[in-house]
Amino acid sequence: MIKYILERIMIGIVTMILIITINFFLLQLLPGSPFNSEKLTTEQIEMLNEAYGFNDPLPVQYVRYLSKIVQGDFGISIINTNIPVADLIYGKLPHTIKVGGLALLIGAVIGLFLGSVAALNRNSFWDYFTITVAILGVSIPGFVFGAVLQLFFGLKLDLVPIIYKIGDPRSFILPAVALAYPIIASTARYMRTELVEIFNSDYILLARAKGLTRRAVVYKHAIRNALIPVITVLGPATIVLIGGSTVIERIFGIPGIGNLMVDGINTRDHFVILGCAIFYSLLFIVILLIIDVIYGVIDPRIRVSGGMKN
Amino acid sequence: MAKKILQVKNLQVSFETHGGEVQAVRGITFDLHEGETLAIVGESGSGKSVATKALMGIIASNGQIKKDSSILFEEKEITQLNEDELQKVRGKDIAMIFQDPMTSLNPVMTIGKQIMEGIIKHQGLNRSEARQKAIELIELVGIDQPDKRFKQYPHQFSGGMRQRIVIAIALSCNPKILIADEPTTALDVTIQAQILELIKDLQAKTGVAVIFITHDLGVVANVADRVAVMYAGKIVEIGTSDEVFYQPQHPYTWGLLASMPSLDTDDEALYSIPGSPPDLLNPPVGDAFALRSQYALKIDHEQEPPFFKITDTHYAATWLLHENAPKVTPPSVIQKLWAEGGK
Ligand SMILES: Nc1ncnc2c1ncn2[C@@H]1O[C@H](COP(=O)(O)OP(=O)(O)OP(=O)(O)O)[C@@H](O)[C@H]1O
Ligand SMILES: [Mg+2]
Repeated sequence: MIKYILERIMIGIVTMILIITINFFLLQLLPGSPFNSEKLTTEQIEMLNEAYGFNDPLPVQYVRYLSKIVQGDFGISIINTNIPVADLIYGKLPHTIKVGGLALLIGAVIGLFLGSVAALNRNSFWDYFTITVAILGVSIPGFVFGAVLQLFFGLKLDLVPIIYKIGDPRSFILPAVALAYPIIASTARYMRTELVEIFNSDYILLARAKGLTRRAVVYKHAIRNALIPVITVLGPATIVLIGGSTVIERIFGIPGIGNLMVDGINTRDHFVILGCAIFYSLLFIVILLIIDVIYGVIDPRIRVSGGMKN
Repeated sequence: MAKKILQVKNLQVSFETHGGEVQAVRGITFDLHEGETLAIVGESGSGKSVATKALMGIIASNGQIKKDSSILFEEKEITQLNEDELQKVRGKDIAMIFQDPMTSLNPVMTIGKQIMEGIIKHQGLNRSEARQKAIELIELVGIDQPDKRFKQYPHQFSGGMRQRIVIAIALSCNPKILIADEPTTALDVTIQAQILELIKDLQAKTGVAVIFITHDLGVVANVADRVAVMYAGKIVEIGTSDEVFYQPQHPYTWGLLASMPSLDTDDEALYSIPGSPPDLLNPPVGDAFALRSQYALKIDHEQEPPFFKITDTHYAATWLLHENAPKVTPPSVIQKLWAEGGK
């Protein structure tokens, strides 16, 4: 297992280097410059470009950037008066993690629950409800859903704050639900399909033929097997979270990484964009690693093939 | 003759599907005696699996045992039991082995746990007693190092070993009836023989009655005391092994026997029954096999043949046995069998 994890970490590092490289060069294609203000004269812009090293040949800039990253320096924000990007991200991180983590939790728990209930009661009200949720989840964009939530639960019913407020846990609820929604949909759909298939499998028939109760058959045999493939959904779910967070953080005014990145893009704040992209990639890779480890723990077949001795 | 432990009368099972009602089992009647082996043979789709699953109440959720069906196990009418009562019969009185050992075990549960489950449920043993029993069972079905094997998962076992485990699970609570649904079909030939030996061996030790489903008539000759031949949801012929093998009466049984490779001693190519089984959404009237049979009489297309008694143990549902039926000459291979059987 240790060997397996180390292998994964190595792959992760290579992936990160690739991602940084690709992002670095792609960013050069972005039109405009951080020094776009009308108050600046051409000479001033030229000076600034020189000062930030943007006049050096690209390969030089690239190597400089890489060597700084190795030292933990992600460059500085040009717009936010030279605050280090790492500090900026670190400051915004708690908000993104709080809302994103809550969303992942809500998404997984409700999704698994709905999917299981639907599979256990095929063609019942809850089955159709779940199917509807799943379809809406992939067809309604997050910002529309977020706005509907604000309108209904915030304005009409006045149950929760519309806008994110630091230190008010109630204000996390709406953005977390809006973010969780597509995850609920995909998890529920996947869990339902998986369980329905498992109910038709031979080992479930054998479990029934042993005379086990329906409960025992469902909990001890079906659910555990269904969870294995469903865990893989959490990978794509993180992408959804990352993508969604940029939009949802805007709508709810959350001072998180998503907002930081969107602001960075709008102002061509070079190192902020790169820093956020690297952060998101790292997050994704770490989550994939965690999923792999969980996989190994619950699926005995992986444990052996992945090099873990029992 | 030994006591009857199972009496099945007019068992009918249907499935609700988008196309309509699939009449998978259309009124079958047979008895099972203590300690005997009854083989059920017939083409794919003839209803063998459905009929035997019905005996334990584990048919698919879109299926239903029709009223007027009766399954009498000892003193219990299985068709009248509720789910709770059925659970007490399953695994304890009637146990089942399935065709594909690669898929019949739960991949994420240890072998030991899977054996213990039934024991704990039916025998009221505590965990350590059940564990002891499970290890004994692993040994009983011929697997070495049972203590180590107890803790392993199915993927660490070969197909033949897994089938041994499934057999251990089936026999864990000393059932009175063991249903083996093509237990060797998915295994390679040498392993098949071992598994058959194991079943026969355990049957001799425990006296369990076995219903053995198979396509393979060679296996039937090897294991069965009696044989029931099923076609399109019905039993068309039933008798002792000798009777069905050496004095077959139903044209469908003739077809099955003629298409058995070992009987094809002539130079002619291996016989196969022409056509395909009827659609069970709209089963034909009369003898369902008439459409594929060169021996069909006019009445076969109009009226269902009753069972004609040949001996006390041998019955066949074909109008050819009616006293007014014309004498027909069965295929040459069958005539040869008749001659061997001394008819
Ligand atoms: N859940 C179901 N829904 C609809 N039809 C079904 C269902 N289960 C079985 N059937 C039908 O019932 C018929 C009998 O099936 P069964 O599995 O008993 O055949 P079998 O004799 O065991 O065949 P095989 O030798 O291939 O195992 C088939 O026509 C099959 O399509
Ligand atoms: Mg079958």
